Amino acid sequence: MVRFMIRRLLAAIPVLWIIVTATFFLMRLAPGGPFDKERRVSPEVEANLRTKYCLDCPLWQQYLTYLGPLNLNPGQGGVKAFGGDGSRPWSGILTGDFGPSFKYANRSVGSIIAEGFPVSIHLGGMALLFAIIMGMVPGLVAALRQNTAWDYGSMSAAMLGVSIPNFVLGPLLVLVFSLTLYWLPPARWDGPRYWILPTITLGAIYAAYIARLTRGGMLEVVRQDFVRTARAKGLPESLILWRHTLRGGLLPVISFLGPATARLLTGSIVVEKIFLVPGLGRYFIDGAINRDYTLVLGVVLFYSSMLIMLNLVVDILYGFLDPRVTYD
Amino acid sequence: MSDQGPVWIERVLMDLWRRQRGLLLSLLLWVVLVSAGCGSDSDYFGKVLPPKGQVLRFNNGAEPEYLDPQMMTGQPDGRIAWALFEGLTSYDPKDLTPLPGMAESWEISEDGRVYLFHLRKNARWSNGDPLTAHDFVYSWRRFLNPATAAQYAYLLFGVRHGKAYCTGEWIGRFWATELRRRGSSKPEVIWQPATEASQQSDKGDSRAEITLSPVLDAEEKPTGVLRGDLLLEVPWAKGRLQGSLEIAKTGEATGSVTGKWVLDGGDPVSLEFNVSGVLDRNDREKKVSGTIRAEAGGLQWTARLEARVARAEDVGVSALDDRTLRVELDNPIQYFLSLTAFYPLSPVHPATIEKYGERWATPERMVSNGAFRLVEHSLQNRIVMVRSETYWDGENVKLEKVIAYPVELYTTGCDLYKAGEIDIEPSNYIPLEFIPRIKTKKDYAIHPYLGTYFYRINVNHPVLKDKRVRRALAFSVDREAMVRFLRAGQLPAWYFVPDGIPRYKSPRLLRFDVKEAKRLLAEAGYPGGKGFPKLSILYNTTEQHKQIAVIMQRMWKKNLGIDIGLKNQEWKVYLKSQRSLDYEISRSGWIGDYADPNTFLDMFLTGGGNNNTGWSNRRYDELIAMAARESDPQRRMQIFYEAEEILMDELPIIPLYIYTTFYLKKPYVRGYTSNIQDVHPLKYVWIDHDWRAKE
Repeated sequence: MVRFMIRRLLAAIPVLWIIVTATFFLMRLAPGGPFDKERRVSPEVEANLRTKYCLDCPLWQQYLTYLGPLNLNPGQGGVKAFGGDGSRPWSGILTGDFGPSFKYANRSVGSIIAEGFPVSIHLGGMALLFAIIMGMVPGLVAALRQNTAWDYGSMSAAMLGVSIPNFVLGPLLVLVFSLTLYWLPPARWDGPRYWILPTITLGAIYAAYIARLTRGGMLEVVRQDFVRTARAKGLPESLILWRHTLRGGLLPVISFLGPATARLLTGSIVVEKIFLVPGLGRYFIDGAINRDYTLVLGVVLFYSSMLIMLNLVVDILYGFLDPRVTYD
Repeated sequence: MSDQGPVWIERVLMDLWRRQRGLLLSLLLWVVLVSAGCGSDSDYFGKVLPPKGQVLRFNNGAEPEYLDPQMMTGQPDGRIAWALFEGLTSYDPKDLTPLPGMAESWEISEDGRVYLFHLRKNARWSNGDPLTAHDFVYSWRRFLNPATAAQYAYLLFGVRHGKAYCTGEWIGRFWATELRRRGSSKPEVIWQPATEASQQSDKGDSRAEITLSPVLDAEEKPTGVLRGDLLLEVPWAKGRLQGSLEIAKTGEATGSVTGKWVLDGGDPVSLEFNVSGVLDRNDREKKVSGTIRAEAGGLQWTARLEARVARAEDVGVSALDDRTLRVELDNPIQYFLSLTAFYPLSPVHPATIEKYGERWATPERMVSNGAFRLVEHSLQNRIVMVRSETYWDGENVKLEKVIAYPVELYTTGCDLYKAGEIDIEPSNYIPLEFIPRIKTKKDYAIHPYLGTYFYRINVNHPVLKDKRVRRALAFSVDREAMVRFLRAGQLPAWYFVPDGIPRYKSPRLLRFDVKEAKRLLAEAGYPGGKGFPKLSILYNTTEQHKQIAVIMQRMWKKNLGIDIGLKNQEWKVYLKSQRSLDYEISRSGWIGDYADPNTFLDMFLTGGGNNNTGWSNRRYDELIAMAARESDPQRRMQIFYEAEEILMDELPIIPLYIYTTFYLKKPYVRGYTSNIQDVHPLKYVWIDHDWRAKE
């Protein structure tokens, strides 16, 4: 088990390296730069800015300085962008420094992630909880009461949930609960009243998926031999459900939850923009649009690490839930 | 999962309907009733319940990029900057005329080049420190410092040596030594300066200033080739000598002037220039010196030159004492007192910046001097400011607290406004589709804005370089129909510089004249649009630009019979295409930095950074340069008028409409007035809890 974890973590390193490298160079391939604005910056000032952010150094040098841990040209003003005050011999992501954001220049990428991530965890966690409860319960009910109105009702709701994108659901909820009924505020992130609508908007589609996966997984397991055996042995239905069916039936849900959790926890640009939630999700898109090189790299790296970690967690959970899975 | 199609859904729904009809109907009825009950005053858009106390909550449109006034550029930045900081002057909220700010009074020299600002006795920072003239000197030098890399730095390029310091140019100084008559065997000295020192003073009639910029060779090393503008005022002639000076020499340099020099209406002058040494942009200590010799009409003038890269202390801003600031300009700037009210010219607290460096603009660290101070800044969430106790005019500031929300989505902003969660939805953050529904509401306001929406034309294009084609394109646009479509009160742009600039009225040369447009196009060789190549309109990907482009496409098809394509690009790609002239027709807009035609017209100088059309006109360039030197306001405006006539005759751009500001403001918000620059000083704003009584 420990060996398995170490192996997986070691395997993650080249993956992350490839992601960083690809992102770094892809970002630079995009036309335009972080300082292009409608009102053109005067060439002199642009030259000053480029020097300040080391954009006038050769690309390989920028790349190596970004990676670290060696600051290739300490003392020069340019390296400021990647190594704190530029005087340190160490710099780059290997020393834990993600550099400053190009757009929000008085903030470091690290501090932007540190400020946005708790909010994303908060919203994502609530949405996850909402999705699990609102997905598993109807899914289980549908599976146990197959082909009844319960089944049809919850599955049609799930169908609706899967097919309504959150940029439609969000405004609809706002229209009904904020602008017509005046029950809940339409946006902002100031307290429990403000949390409800974004949580539902973000969680709904996941709830719908979970409901369908739960039902499907359960129905599949119910027909398996070991369940039939348990029933033949005369075990009570509730025990069969808790000890045998549920463990197998939830496997598809668990494997779905891994990447879903990563996605939920790193935020969603749509929900964040509609409800003015100060989370991380917006930076994936906004960072790219603004050509905020360091910010994009920072959030991509962060998201990939989360994804790798959570996939590992899922694999370990599999070991507990499915006795057929071993790690050797 | 088994897929039974829509039949079973229908079955379930019908079943539900049959059994629970009563419940569903009463639920629906209840929703309708409740919503009707809650839907407040139909005179207004949404709730009109003021917040408790003197609190203003507004949508700031986006997260500011900076909270450092010298670095700030966008509107969201500006709204915060103006609340936290105040410059030497401030704006009158109605017409934006400059009012005393940190300076309680000022004197302007007769030639309009020297300003003396007298600071208030009670000017203080939010930590209680007195605010002195030295703080302004520090802040303006910081603003121009190349290491600061402030994007608005060019606003101070008109201050003596401001540009040289910011861009690392070399500045030189001449000391005229003597003036001789040539020809006789023993040259007669007809003028000799009394002392060298007197020649450095501003009044000296042989004052000469030279600004030289290094030209870099392929390896980016300064070669000692000097290029620059020479401005000489020599005692034998009243004219000025201006032009470009080039001294080609590498290494240890001695060189001479190339090109002919003609005085304004005077004799040709020949110049000889000697300089030794090579300057380095990054070495502000090193000096080079040399001599300059000029000959005209039998007179010979010699001077000594010393040149070095400009330093902070060369910038023409100095503190005569704690409360007197002296600013020296190269040329009179008519709008200078408006500039000093603009937020990048606000002072910053030197000790704080020395202590924390770039990251000083946080609630814990920031020391500011405006009507409010920063107490909370949560990224992408909100900025909270409270009334400053140390502000000089604090007793007239009514708001206790201001909260700014960075809502980017127009609909979310309007939702918050309607639900009464914010009090102001700022200008242009309202979807156009909303306007028919809210334009009758009392809390919707419209005002002309200092901005023009226009199309740039690439005049290097083989077809578009023909002026007749450009005129045909411009004359066939039905601008009235365009603004009717836009709905938010925009005005048709029959000229480029928007209305509302004091003392200026643009020439109205454009008109909607299909006949003339057709004639021009036929004359250019495309009768009825035949043979006209397929050009396209470039725009950045947004719905509104697309709609306008489609309208233009139809108008040109209908009125001229030509086919124009559409081409959209992502924002930064679009900017790059526009800059590299990789387009035929390109959507553009321009918002004036200050209420003066110059902010619009100097854009189209030959090779200007924002020209982006390839257009160049010598007379136009001359006029804009003339206007910069002109000290008589009336004459200056006439020069701008003439320049705009050239622009509107040549038409490297097609103005389409003049922007308006349109915003939502709750009826209980007082003191928030409309003006052409959409600037709303918050010190005058307050919440009227008895607003209904005054309706």
